[in-house]
Amino acid sequence: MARLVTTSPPAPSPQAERGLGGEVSRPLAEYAASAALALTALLAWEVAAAGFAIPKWLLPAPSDVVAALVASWELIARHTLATLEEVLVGFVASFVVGVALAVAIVRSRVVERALYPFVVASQTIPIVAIAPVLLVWFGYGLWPKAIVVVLICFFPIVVNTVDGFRSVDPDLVDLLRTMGATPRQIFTKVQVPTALPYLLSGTKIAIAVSVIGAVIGEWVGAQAGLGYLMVRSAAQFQTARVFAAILVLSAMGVALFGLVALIERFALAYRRAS
Amino acid sequence: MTAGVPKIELRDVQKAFGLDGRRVVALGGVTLAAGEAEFVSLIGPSGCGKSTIFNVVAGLTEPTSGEVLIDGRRPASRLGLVGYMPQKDLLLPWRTILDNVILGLEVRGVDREAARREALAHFPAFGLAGFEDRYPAALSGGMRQRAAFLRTLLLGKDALLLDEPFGALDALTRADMQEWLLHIWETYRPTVLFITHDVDEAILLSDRVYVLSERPAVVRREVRIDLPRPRRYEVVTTPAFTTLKATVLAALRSRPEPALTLGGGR
Repeated sequence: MARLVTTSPPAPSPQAERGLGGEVSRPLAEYAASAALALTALLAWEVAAAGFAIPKWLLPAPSDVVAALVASWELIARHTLATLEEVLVGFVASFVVGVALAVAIVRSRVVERALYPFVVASQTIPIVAIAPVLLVWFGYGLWPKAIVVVLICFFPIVVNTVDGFRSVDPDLVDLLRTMGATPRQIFTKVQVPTALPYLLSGTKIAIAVSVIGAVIGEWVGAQAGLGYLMVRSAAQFQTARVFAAILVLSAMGVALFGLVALIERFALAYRRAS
Repeated sequence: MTAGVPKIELRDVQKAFGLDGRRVVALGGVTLAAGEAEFVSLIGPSGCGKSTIFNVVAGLTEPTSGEVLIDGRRPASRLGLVGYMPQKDLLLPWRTILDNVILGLEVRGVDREAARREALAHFPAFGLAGFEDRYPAALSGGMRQRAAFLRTLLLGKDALLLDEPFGALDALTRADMQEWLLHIWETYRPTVLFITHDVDEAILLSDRVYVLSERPAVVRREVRIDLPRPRRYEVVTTPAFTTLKATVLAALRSRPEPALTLGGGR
């Protein structure tokens, strides 16, 4: 559980996050160093596990994890789909809620004063503490998990998108006003495109933590999902299967992040064109 | 003054701001006019309130007192009536050059494709041919200014406010751009109000030059530039030019006296 405490979503500055999208585009050669490090670590782990005869239930070797992954493939796939569903439902809801909140906050001072404190306060609630309550309210199905995902994901989207709208160059707004532009035209032609890179940064953070949200939801009470499978497998000392589930979860997170980064690449193509 | 109703006219325009609790008077009663197809420059010390004059004429802000007339009338709002080109080029980094220059047409509700066709016809004359699909970041300062100017022209307004459009360019590019602007102006003949702090530039381009005082700005002197048109850049070396330059410089530098009279009046 200690790991959970550290997973509360950060609120990084969009500037700091912007570089992440570029990484996808870099040549594979740049990953050579990290790949070599990972291989070395895995090899050391494998050798150590065999050399010191560590029991599988305590620390399975990488080969045991792969073996568990292959052996329980169907089981893991079924639970992966359950988790993926929770993640996607929660993420789409966070995106819609996040963008709507950001637009409302930027458009109205009253809404900002009324809502922003609660948006921030929502992040001080320990998700692990509120998840059991959601279980009581919504049962063992999809919804409590999706809600946990929303609670974690909407925040970086709101904060980044609000910052994006705030970064609009006032001179640009004035220029459009002198052209006779309506507030709606200023919004669509200047404010939205200015906020888009920030929105996408927030979305990348959100998608990266969305998987964590689903797993927390499942740990508290579920009948399916990788988090549920991990709890059950750990209880049965099927440690290799726990690791296999973690492996699949990471892969899911990385893949979803990569997808958003890819969308960003196309949406912000103008940045690379110069 | 040209015959007929002036295109743009300011009558005793005053503008005061509240700044950090203090009242700052930017314009101390500015009266000036620009006629149909006339090129008029405003020259004055930096920070004297030239840009405030433009903000008032463009309708971004209302004068504290006085009147602004467009075509002899006082419209309810001046927004959208004149083409305004600010100091910064303000090209949208996410739009290609072609899509940047049609921004004004788009705002007016012109169909995108039609706007693009109209804009493309002007690209060669603006030295932008071949750069239609590039993004602003890929263009030089001079090209960006030409794109911003084309965007202003395409608004289809016959009165333009140009706020130090060449201020950020190096001397060589600047001279090229001035000659180019002369040519463009002679082709399209819009009414132009032009802000600069470069005396040569003001005389080279203008029919008349208003010399403004320090803040709060008032018109200190009006100088008619009767150099023949079409003009070439070489005109800057002629004796007539030098005489005009001496007049404008003298008006710019005659600081203490008018400033004192002003101070007494306020």
